Amino acid sequence: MSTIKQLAKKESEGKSFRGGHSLCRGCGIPIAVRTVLNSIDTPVVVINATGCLEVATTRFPTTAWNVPWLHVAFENAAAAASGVEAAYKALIKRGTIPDDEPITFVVFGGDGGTYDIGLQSLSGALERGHQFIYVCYDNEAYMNTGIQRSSATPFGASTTTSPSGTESFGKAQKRKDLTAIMEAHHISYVAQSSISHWHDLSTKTKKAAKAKGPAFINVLSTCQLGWRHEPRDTVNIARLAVETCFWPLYEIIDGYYRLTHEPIEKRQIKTWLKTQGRFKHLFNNGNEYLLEEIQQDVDKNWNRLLERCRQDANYFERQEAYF
Amino acid sequence: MSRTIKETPSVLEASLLTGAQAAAHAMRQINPDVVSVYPITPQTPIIQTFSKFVADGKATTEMINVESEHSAMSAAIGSASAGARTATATASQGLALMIENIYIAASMRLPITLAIGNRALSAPINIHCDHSDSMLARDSGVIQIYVENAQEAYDYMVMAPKIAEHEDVLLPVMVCQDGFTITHTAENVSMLGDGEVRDFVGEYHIPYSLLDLNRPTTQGPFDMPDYYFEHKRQQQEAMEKVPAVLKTVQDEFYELSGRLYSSIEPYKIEDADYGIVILGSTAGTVKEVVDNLRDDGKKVGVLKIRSFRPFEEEKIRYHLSRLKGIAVLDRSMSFGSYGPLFTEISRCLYDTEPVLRNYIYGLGGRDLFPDQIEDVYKKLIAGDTSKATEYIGLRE
Amino acid sequence: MKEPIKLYSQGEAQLRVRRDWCKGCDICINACPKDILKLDETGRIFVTDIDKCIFCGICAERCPDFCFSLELPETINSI
Repeated sequence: MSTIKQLAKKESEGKSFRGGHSLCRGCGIPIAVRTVLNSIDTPVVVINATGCLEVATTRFPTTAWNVPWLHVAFENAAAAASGVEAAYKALIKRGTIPDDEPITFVVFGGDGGTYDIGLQSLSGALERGHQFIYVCYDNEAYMNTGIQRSSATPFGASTTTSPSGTESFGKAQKRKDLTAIMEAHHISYVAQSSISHWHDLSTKTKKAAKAKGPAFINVLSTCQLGWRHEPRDTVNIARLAVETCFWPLYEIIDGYYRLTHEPIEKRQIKTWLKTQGRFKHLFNNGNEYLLEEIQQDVDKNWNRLLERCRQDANYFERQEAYF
Repeated sequence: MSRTIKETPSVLEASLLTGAQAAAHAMRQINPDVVSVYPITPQTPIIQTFSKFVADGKATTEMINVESEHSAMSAAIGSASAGARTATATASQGLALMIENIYIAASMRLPITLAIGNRALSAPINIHCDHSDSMLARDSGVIQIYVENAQEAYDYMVMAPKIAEHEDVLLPVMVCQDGFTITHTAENVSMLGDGEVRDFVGEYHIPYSLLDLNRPTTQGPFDMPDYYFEHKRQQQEAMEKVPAVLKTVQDEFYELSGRLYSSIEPYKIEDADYGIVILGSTAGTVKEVVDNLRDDGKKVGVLKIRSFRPFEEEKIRYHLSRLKGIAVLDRSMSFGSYGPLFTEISRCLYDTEPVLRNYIYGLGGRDLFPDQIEDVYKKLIAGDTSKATEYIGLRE
Repeated sequence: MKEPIKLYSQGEAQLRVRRDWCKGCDICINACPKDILKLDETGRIFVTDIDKCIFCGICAERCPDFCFSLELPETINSI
């Protein structure tokens, strides 16, 4: 269990990730990265896919990283991490590295580099069972290249490659459920979290760090530029995504589902959509059916998740302590 | 926590091995820390043979069975930057798929050994030999060595880590052997002893390891226009140091094996009037033709190039500039222009006398026969000065 | 820049603010439970009244640019 003071203390030691980077003002990504890194007790090595985080933190000759950090390309963070992890094992075998100082490998990728172009290498790495934590910072589009749609972009969102117009209401496809795809690899720990719930993310990171084999955490990360809102509302909008059940917070341990946060009052999805410019066109006359469809989808997915968690509740009752 | 390796005692007599098996044996003796594997014809026997060695405890390598060639090279980059001696193998479409990572590995100065079983690029899909795949990587910054037979394949796979890991170099090395012609054809190969190879390659230690927690490094950063140019210029500097390192390693290898290698192999070219320049296994056939024509009193020779990258212009020019006529045989095309080897040779000899002719041969595994090679020499001798590229053995 | 790094003290507890990294996004202002954070005329953060600070750490947790660090003596219990 972390306290915010513990995390803040770890932060002031300045060991992992620092400021001076050029991520946008009010960017959600560093909030996620910091919470994750400060929640890990062992030394950390980071492997990063191409994207906002990588580009804005390592402009030569500067770097915001105080831990070993590797970037190779866009679609292969998990494959590169597989190589690093294999080398780590090999060098312990060779006797070059002591085997009593565990290192935690953390892989960061955006939704572009994880849901789309990076899915193959991630799938391969999970199937092979490499020991790392993969954290996807999901800001629901290819933000670094100028807000293009990804398979994580929500239905109806306007992006530069799925813009709303006279003939279009924005993205016409429903978003991919990556968390479910991760679970289908039968890895021992999969979770969904958000930058708005620091304690949830910190706890999940700790569990992920203790998992045997690969672990995956999907973190909702607001993007004030792409979602079009005031930077000051970054955290609030992420929280609202959770409270409307658009982005439920849950974990899957050994295939069993467990809700980690249930909103006291399930808010209407409209309240979340209204906060962002990318959904503004959905409130035009004639688009009410889209709002209804979105609400129906959220309800369907939420109810299905609740049902699944109910079914699996027995497993958790039987366990004295998990992780 | 180290496992002991079941050693093969020093093999003094030759074994009957295919080029693929020979490469796998070299890898077994080197015992790299990490090897990433993904199959593609015709390199698959390399990784299959090596996998069996590991399964039987003859090597203690960490194997990563990746899900694509792109991931094979990605994993190799991760592994090499973490300080592990790393190798992988590919061909054709696999090489094309991993090409962005080949550039990245070279630019990140990572000494990875890449075994290539040369094979044609699609489309149409073709699994047989030509050089179009490795030619795709010629601008990438990797060192490229073309071998003539299984013996050379073994020898250069043994030398590869030593060349790659030299502190002046730190670049990936591509050891290219012709698909099927070398990879799948058995020949006598003399191997060194396990211990000899181990001592020759030594232990690998990287200057800046990703796993050095006391000195965290940011590897693979982002460059704006104010730095990229200099980074590339420095990469060229590394390439410029390769010929000297290549010579040193080849000389050391000679001490160990009695086989002396060079970045080029001149064959009866010293007093020749006409010559062929070529890469790969076909050089063997050309040497036979040269011997026959010499018996007939024709003053011909062949220059086989082993190191295509770096391209050792001075040495090549020295051997070729006195000739009356040269035919450059390319086993790949560069559509819209001449063959890549021809382009290098012409530039190298631009202010010299010889007549230069470009021939394209052997694409997609089309065999080249001695009588066809003889025709090439005859045309040179007859003083043919036409500039057009000719295709040998085209059926139309 | 005027005072790029400012150190605010409340007894033995300290709040270190890196104003040179501040991009004026307002997240901390929005989050501070005691409303003691404000942007100055250059658009950078400062603390209006350190004596009201409860050292909850939310600003440090939320700031995307690592502008805040809490220096707490071990003896301070949660307030």
